[in-house]
Amino acid sequence: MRNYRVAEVGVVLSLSVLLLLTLVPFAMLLFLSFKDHLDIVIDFWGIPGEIKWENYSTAWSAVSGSIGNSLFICCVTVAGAVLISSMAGYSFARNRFPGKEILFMLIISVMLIPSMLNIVPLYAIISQLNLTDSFWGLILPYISGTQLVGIILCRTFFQGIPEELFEAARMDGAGEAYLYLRIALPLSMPVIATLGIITFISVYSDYLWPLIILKEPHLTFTIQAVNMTTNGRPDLGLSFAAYIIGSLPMILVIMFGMKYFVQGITSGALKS
Amino acid sequence: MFSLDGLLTWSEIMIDKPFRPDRIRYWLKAYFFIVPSLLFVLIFLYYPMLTSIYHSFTDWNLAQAEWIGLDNYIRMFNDNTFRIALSNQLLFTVTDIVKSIVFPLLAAELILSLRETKLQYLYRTGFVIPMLIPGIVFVLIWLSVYNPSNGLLNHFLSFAGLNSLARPWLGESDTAIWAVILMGFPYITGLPFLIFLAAIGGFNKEIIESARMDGAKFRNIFLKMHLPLLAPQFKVVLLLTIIGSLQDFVRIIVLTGGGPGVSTTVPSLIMYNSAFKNSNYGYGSAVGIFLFVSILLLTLLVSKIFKSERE
Repeated sequence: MRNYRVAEVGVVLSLSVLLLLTLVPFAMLLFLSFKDHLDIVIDFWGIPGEIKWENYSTAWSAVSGSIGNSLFICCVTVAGAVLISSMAGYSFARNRFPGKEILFMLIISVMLIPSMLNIVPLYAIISQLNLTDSFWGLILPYISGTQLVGIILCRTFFQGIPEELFEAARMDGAGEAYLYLRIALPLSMPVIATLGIITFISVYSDYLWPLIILKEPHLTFTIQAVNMTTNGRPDLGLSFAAYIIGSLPMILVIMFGMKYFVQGITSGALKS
Repeated sequence: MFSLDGLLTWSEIMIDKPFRPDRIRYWLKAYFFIVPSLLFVLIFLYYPMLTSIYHSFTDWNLAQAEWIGLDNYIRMFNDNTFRIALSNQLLFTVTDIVKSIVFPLLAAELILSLRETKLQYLYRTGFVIPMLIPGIVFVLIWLSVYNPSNGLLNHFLSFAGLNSLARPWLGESDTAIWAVILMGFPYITGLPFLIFLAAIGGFNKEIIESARMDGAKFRNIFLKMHLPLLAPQFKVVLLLTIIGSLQDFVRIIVLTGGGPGVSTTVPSLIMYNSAFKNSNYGYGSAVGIFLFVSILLLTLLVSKIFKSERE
C-alpha cells in the first residue's frame, strides 16, 4: 500500500512538471501583457510598479478592425457551409435519385487532397474571378473546404431521423423544401452547432490563405497579429495584449459550445 | 457508410411507377439540394487540382502558360536548395512523429493511472487549455520565447547563471532548425493526446486489473497489453502527423522565414515562395504535385504496415 502511495506522488509530480512546462509560455504572455515595453526590456521578471491597462486599450484600437473582419468572414462562412452541407446531407440521406452514390463519392473523395497543396492553383482561380483582396476570395474556398465534413455529419444525422416524421408530413402534402426546412433542420441543431464551431475555429485561426489573398488595410486578426510582431520595432507588452484580445472570440465560442467542440474535434479525426 | 439502408418507403413507392412526370420533378428537387455543394467542390477543389497537374508541366505566370515538359521536375530534383529542403523535411517529419506520440501517450497513461477522478479532470483540462487560442498566436508566443534580448528562454538561462548558453536561437543556422522543432515543448496539447486518452480510458479495466492481480508489472501491462491494443490509434496519429507535417510551413514562415539562409526551409515553403514571391506558378505547382504524391505514398505505406501487422 505504501509503495502505491509513493508511485501516486511520483505520477502527480511528473504531471505537474509537464503541465507547468505547457502553461509557462501562456503565463508569461498574460504577465507581460500588463507591463510597459521599457519595463520588459529593463526588468523582465520584475513585477511592474503599476499595471499598464493602457496596453489593452491601445491594442484594442489596433486590432478591433481586423477582428471585425475575421468575425465577418467566419460568420458568412459558417452560414454558407451549414446551409449547403445540410441541404446536400438531407438529399443524400433521404432522397433516392439516379447517380446518388457516385455524386456522394465525388464530393467526399476530394477530402483526400491535402488543402494546403491546393493553394497555388486555387489562387489562380480566385484571381481569374477577380476576388483577390476581397473577403469573398476567402469565404468561397473556405465554404467549399469546410462543407465536406459537414455533408458527412448531416447525412449521418438525417439518416437517423425516424421515417414516420417525414411520412406524416408527406401525407399532408408537404414538399421536399418544407420537409427540409421544417422537420430536418430544426431537429439537427446539435449537428449544426458542432459543424458551426469547428468551421468557426478553423476559419478564425487560418493565417496562410488571408496572407495570400488580402492586402492592407483589409486584414484578418491573424495577419494583423503577425504584422504587429514582425514589422519594425514591436512594443512587446502591446502585442501580447493584442494576442489576448484576438484570442477571446475563439475562447468564448469554444467555452459556450464545449460539448459540441469535443464532438467536433473527434469527428475531425475522421477526416483523414 | 455508403450503404442504401434506411431509404424512404415513399421513394420505394415512386420506384414502382418509373418515368412519371412527378417522379422526374422529384429527382430535379433532389438534385437541386445537391447542386450548390457540387458547384463549390468542382470550382474550388477539382478544377484547380486538375489544372495544376497540367500547369506543373508549364512555365506559368498566371496570364500565360508555356509547355516546357518535365523541366520543372528536372529543375526541382537538381536544385540544391530543394535537396536541403527535403532533408530538413525528413528531420521535421521524424521529430513530429516522435513529438506526437511520446509525451502525449506518457501524459495520457499517467493521468489515467491516477485514482482521483478530480485530479484526472484537472490535468486533462490543463493540458487542453492551449487549444483555446488560435494556432498562429501559439507560434507568435514561441517566437517571443526565442526573442534574443527579451525572450523567456534567454532570460531564464541568464537567471540560472548559464549566460554563456544564451544566443539568438532562431538567428543562427545551426540552432534555428532545432528551435523550430522544440517549439511547443512538451507537445502534449493536441489531438493525439485526446485520442490516446479516449482509447486508454475505454480499455476493459477488469482484464487489466486481473492481470495486475496475477502479479503483472506496470511495465508489462503497458508493453504487452496497452501498446498492441493502441494500434488503430497509432495509425490515425501517424497519418495525421505525416500529412500535417508535410503541409505545415506556417510555423516556419513566422519563426524563421526558412532562414537563416535555407537552413530551415521545406518543400512546401519552396512551393509557396516560388509561386507567390517569384511568380513562378508552374514550378510551384510541380512542387505541390510532388508533395501530393509523397503524401499519398506515405499514407499507403502506413496503411500497409498496419494491415500486415494485424494479420
